[in-house]
Amino acid sequence: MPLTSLPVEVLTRILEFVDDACPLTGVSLTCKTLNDVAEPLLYRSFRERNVSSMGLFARAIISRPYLARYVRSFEGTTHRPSVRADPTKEGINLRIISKTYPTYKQLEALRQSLPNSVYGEEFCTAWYGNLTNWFDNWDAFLGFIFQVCSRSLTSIGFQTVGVIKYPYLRTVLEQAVEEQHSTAEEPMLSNLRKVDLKYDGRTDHRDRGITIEFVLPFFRLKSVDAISIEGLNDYVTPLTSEFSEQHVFAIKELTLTESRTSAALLEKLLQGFVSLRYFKYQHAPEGFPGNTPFRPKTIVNGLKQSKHCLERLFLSQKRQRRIPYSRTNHFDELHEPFGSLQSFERLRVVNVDTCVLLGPEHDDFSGEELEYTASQCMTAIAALPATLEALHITRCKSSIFGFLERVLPEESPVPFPKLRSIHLLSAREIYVPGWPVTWESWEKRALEKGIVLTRTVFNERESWLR
Amino acid sequence: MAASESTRITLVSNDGAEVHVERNVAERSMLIKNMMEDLGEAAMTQSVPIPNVNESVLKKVIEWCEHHKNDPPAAADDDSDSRKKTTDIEEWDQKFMQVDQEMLFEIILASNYLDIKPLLDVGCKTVANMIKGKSPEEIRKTFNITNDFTPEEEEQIRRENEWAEDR
Repeated sequence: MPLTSLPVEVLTRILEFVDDACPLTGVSLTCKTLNDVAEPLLYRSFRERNVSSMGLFARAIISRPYLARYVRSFEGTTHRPSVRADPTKEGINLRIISKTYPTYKQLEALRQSLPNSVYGEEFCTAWYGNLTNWFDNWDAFLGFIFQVCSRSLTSIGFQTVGVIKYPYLRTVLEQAVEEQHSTAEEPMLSNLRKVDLKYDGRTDHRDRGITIEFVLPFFRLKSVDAISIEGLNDYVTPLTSEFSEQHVFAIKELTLTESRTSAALLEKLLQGFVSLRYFKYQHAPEGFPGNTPFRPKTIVNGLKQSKHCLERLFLSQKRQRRIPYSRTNHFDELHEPFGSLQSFERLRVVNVDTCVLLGPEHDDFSGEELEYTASQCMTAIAALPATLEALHITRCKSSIFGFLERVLPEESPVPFPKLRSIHLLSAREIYVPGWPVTWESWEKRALEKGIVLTRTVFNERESWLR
Repeated sequence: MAASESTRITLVSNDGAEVHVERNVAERSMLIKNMMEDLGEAAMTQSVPIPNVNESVLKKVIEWCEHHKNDPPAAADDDSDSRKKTTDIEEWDQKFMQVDQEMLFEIILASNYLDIKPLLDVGCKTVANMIKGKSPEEIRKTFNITNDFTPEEEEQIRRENEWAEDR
């Protein structure tokens, strides 16, 4: 019995295992049967591998248009040239690839895949021109891929150096938004669930980063339920009141990492979201050129529309490597605690930096260890929701034990009836004050109250990289 | 139920051989498990025909079920995209799968028919490991596959899938 006589569903299962380890391109070339099984798997996800892969991918889809319906996930970049102006390198310009390829018929099909009836003839002709006459036109290509794969795509990710002009991509996205908000039967991008945008470029300049204007169409897509944006940086885009009036119902998970957006703008932006269950916020490092200050209270204020549904909240600031010690304290003082989370009805998991929870440490100038005052600790406890099940505190120092003392009081019950775990994360081993008290005795004390207390020496870089 | 664990049932292969097996071992097969539930008490007295599997393969499959009878049931989201597709195989299973290709494919077919997902996965992983990292020519040689492409077709596929190289 030959391999190829196994049923297609079994061959698919086998090739899925192969796919995880190496490209299926070799398998495709063995014979027709295996090619038929490998093809849908191969085209299921695109990931940009080198300068010409996006162009080559687009070319394959132009040559065999049915492949577009297999494409579920797309992971590309917009920052580097997709091709060099070197005819020996295969590139994104579809006409110079070879004398015989693509054929006239394929070019005609390419032109027809840009529908005049939707975008207008003039626009489509210019678009087609960009795909066939220009190099490095990632915008025309992304627009084209999103257009032709718009029924199958479930997740989109790309890295960008901040975007100046993107007429084609934007037009396709806006068309999808329009169709999703109308009664169109099968609206464009209706299966798109996940969007992951990363800023990839020099981060040392104030006006670099992903702009709110660029991400707005993604927020408006009804199909999308999770968005992650790295390097949101905006201080120019005036966020019209129109945005907060058109509430974002669909998005349940929002992740903003290395954000440099001002608190006021962020507050306004977040007020547009009414269904968040998961919100993860990481501010850009301190001392960043042109950085805006981290204002947890304002951010929490912006989340008020999601009070009835938010379950998990992360608030932290990315750590700056090698920041002078004296400056660290200075910056800590700028932090304000997050205000009250009491009104969040379903908030179960809170993951915050120590200073977000408690504010700056108190220095009594006696030369003793820095610590938190009783009133700081009590304010923090009063601010946390009664529904709390897990508390993760990042950037801990030994001063955190003063707070733990009050969360795990020896004589009275824990102020949070549902609390089951406390996790401390620190950049280095933290010293447990009050000898002979040890870490183990803290663990025991927590366990007696039904709480698992753990700690990790936190490598922020690894933790934020997925 | 201790009583049912030691209950033995009789399976009949497609070449007419009777194979006696503990019920809880046989019920690693979702097909047999569902059949038992449908038959109820009658299953204890009747023999159960397995029309798609011959004696040697059936015995091999039961040997696997015997060894894995205490495994926890597979996760419910087994077929989801998020399933981690590692091709690691535990040592006992690796040895178990050291059979000729004919038998390997028979085991895969039988586990697919009998609906024993973990065994099907072990079989598929074994084949996947034989494919991984091989050139098209080596794959053809390993599995005795005839290249039915014309040179032009082969060249076209190679060019069109080029974007996926150099992962």
